[in-house]
Amino acid sequence: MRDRSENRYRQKAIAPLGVGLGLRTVHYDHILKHKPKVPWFEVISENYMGTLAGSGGRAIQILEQFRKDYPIVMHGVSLSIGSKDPLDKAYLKKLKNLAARIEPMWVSDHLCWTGVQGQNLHDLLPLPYTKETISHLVDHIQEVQNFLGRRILMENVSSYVSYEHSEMTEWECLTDVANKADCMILLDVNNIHVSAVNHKFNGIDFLNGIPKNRVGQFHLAGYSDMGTHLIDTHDHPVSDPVWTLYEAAVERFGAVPTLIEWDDHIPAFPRLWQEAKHAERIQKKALSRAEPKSPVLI
Amino acid sequence: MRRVLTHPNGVGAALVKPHAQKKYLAVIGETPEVSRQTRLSIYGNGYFWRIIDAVGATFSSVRNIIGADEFHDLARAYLVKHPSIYKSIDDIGGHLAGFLKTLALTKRFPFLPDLAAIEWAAHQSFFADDAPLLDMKKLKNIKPADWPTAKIKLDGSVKLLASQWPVNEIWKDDGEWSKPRLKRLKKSPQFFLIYRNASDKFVRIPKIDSIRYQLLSRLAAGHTLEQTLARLPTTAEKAGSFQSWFQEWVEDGVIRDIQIQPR
Repeated sequence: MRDRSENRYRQKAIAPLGVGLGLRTVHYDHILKHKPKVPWFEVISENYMGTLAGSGGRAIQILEQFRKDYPIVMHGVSLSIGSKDPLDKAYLKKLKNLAARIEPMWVSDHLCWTGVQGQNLHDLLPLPYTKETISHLVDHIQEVQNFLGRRILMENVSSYVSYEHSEMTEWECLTDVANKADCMILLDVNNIHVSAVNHKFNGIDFLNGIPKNRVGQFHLAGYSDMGTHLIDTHDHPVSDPVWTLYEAAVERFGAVPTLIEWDDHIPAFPRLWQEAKHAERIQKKALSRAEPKSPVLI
Repeated sequence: MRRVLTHPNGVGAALVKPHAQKKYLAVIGETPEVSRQTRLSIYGNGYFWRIIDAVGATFSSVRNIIGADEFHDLARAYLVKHPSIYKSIDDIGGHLAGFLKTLALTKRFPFLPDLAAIEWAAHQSFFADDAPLLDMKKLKNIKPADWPTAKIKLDGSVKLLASQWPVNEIWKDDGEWSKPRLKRLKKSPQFFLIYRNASDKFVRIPKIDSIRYQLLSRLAAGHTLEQTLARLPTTAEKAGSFQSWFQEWVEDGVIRDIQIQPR
């Protein structure tokens, strides 16, 4: 049995950073020229970790330029923490190198699997919610945290399939994993709504099932409505039901740093900025009703 | 599960084969509105769309030459033959040039494998590790007697390519060539230097002559300067041309270091 207590890192309180934006190449010129007062940016780690050919060139050079002006958060999509495959050490080394270079406020990835038997599906695939899964995830998360020397945040994914042999709800699984691995949670409010519609559960139950001291970041994004189900496409504005759920999330978890994701059909920067401002207004409104919270530690 | 998602007919096969249906579909929950098949297909379709999009960004010249529809079919067939084993979506595509050689598509576009090869080389060059610029003090301090045995280290972004087609011109225009222009293409030996410019970090692909191609190939293979220059036909060229090329390669960041061999 692994000693769970080994996984204790020096923790720091997260300042109420407000609403940040996902850094995307189409906005590079605008940001460099106008230096908008965005409190922080989130980057997709893999976009700057390089390829098998190397880890240099323009991508990392530009990121270092942004880093001089803005706090940065690293968000990964290929950790594949839930896969039965062993963790990819070469990938982790690159991730650690990037973190050492960029000094992000925190590092996150998804509670999912992205491939198996050495092949990568480049998608965030859901896991069955079982005790066996939890044990596997806890071991993997602790291995990652020990290697990186920092606590990480794990995000709930949107999903279209659920497994008949799941033994608990997604939020019960996520909570148990976070408590046992001593990691933080990146709560994607849009993903909660998408999965709630697709699997017929109440998003508020999800929020209420998550411990208040474990949430270090929120994600907001838009989805595509297919009539019978929702697909998490990140190509629309945040929808009204997601704004409503976000308000409830802020009321429960406090002024958690929030990020607007927009990855396809990306609008001009001012439109994206509008979305962030709307999130700020909702946050303010919800906080006026919420009880004061202790600062979240990462 | 993986093959269900990574083969174009994967979900279909899972529906018609009773053993597959039991194996893959029975574990998935469903609702009256959305069947198991539909749910699984969202991932199956997403797999191809997502990766084809990424491969299309890497090989945008190839895509623009053959058109989006034909590129979609090409990339789909490629993914079936070479599923991704990479963490980075940017690493998918290394076999595309070779894969194209096996296809009838090359009868219509005989230059396509070379165009794919040059796009892949440019893509790799873009991500190559950074290296410090050549130390000019070190260069000035090299004794004349040390030059013959010196080894010249090229930048990690440097690639060399020989082709029968002016694929660097097609690459430069991102494949936006009209059909009449493509028809006018003539086959002739071509040599290209692919490298990432040291200052702006953008990839350049100049056409070079066969002598420079041979020189750079020999330097890249680790030959000494004396061994490399032995390929040049005349003494005059050794003195004149190489010096001017050397200076150009240093300025552009093609040459990154000079290693003096211990005597």
